Amino acid sequence: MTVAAPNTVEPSDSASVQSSGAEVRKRSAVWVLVAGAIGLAAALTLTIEKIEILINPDYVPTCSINPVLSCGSVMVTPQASVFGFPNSLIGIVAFTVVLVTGVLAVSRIELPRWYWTGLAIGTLLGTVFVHWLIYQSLYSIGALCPYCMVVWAVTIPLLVVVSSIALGQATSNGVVAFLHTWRWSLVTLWFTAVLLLILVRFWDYWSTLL
Amino acid sequence: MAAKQKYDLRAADRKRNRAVQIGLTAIVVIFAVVLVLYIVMSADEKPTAGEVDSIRVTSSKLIKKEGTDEPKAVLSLYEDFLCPACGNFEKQFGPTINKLIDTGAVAADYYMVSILDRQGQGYSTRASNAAYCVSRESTDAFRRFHAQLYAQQPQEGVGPFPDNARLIEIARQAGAGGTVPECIEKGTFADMAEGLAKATDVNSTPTIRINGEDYNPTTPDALIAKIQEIVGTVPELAGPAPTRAPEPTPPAPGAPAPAP
Repeated sequence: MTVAAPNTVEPSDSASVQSSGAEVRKRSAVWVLVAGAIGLAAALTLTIEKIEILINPDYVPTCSINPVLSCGSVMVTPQASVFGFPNSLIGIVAFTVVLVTGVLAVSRIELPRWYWTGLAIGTLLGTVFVHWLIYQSLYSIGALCPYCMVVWAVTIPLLVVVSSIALGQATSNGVVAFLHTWRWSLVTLWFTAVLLLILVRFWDYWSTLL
Repeated sequence: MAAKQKYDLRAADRKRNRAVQIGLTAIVVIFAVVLVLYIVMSADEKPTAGEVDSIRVTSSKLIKKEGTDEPKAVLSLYEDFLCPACGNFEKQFGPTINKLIDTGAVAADYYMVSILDRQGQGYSTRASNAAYCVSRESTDAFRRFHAQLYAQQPQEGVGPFPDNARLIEIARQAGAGGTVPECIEKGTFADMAEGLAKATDVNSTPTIRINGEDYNPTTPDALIAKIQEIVGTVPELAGPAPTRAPEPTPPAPGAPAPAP
């Protein structure tokens, strides 16, 4: 502990502090920080592009590369503003929290377990939302928005890292232990699955590029 | 010290477990990717029976409906490469149809159906498939290929029927290389060709339709007159029909085939 900050709300004896706060390994902390930064950057870019479109309807977003990779057509859909305002605003708020948490974790400032649990639940909700968006993007809108895909790609590993931190020692339970052991394999398989879905869905287009 | 040692032991354990995990995951990922790629690639652009695809031949002068890209007159031709009546039709009307296309009076939609496989050891389907393969490469090559296949049409039920190697050679002479040989060998359009007559409601060949309506051709002049009723007078149609329209410039038949 190099940081001699008043980091604990309840300064009891050190042993109990150790158990009340969640143990965060350095690598996990960096993960959270990086994920927060990337996610925030993507959400910010999306919001800025959205504003540009609102100012000038003819504006072609920087991420509209070809008929499939095109955020212009994605951003104007109703799915891009499910709650009545652009989804990316949720992203800005949520990823800011993640980023700050990452900064705290990297600085070895201990956060209570309930905080990590809360973040894990939030990330889980985000993951559910992301899957809905993936489904909509692939099968309803029929286009991919690169910045949105950055958010997809960041959210899944983030869920794994944050929930591992939140669970801490509780990973000895059967199913949880299994999931925990295989968590990176599951993430890899998830990425593979999504990439293959994209490949198959837009094969007609990809094959013209070959 | 003891705790430290224990930690090291577990680390070695973990290392091995991790290797197993990575290995298993890699196997699953590779398997999934290969499987999906295989399925996607083999299903790639292989239209099935029941799908309808025509070979549209137009010229740049095509007369269009005002304000649209739609041709004013679409001449649909449903032919089987083996059918003698189609051979005769090609002889009698081929030059006129070429003229109608080249003057922009019509857009010609060729539907190369296959209804005479039993009379030709499957030649109808193979020739039809080959025509679609060639047309994907170049429409001009298709026109030459089409003319050439009728010029050397085998006799129905007698033969000899050109095999795929021969079809590939004719395609090459018509100016279609690239993936055409592979397409002809694989029979990419074979399923579609076999189902095409049924799917387009054609029960005899040649069937001619003008803008979707059956048309019974009598003479080339009557056909021209009928088309001019639709698109208006086309001055270039007045001249005599060329004997063998767009003179192909195939490589000399004896020329060595380019290496695939």
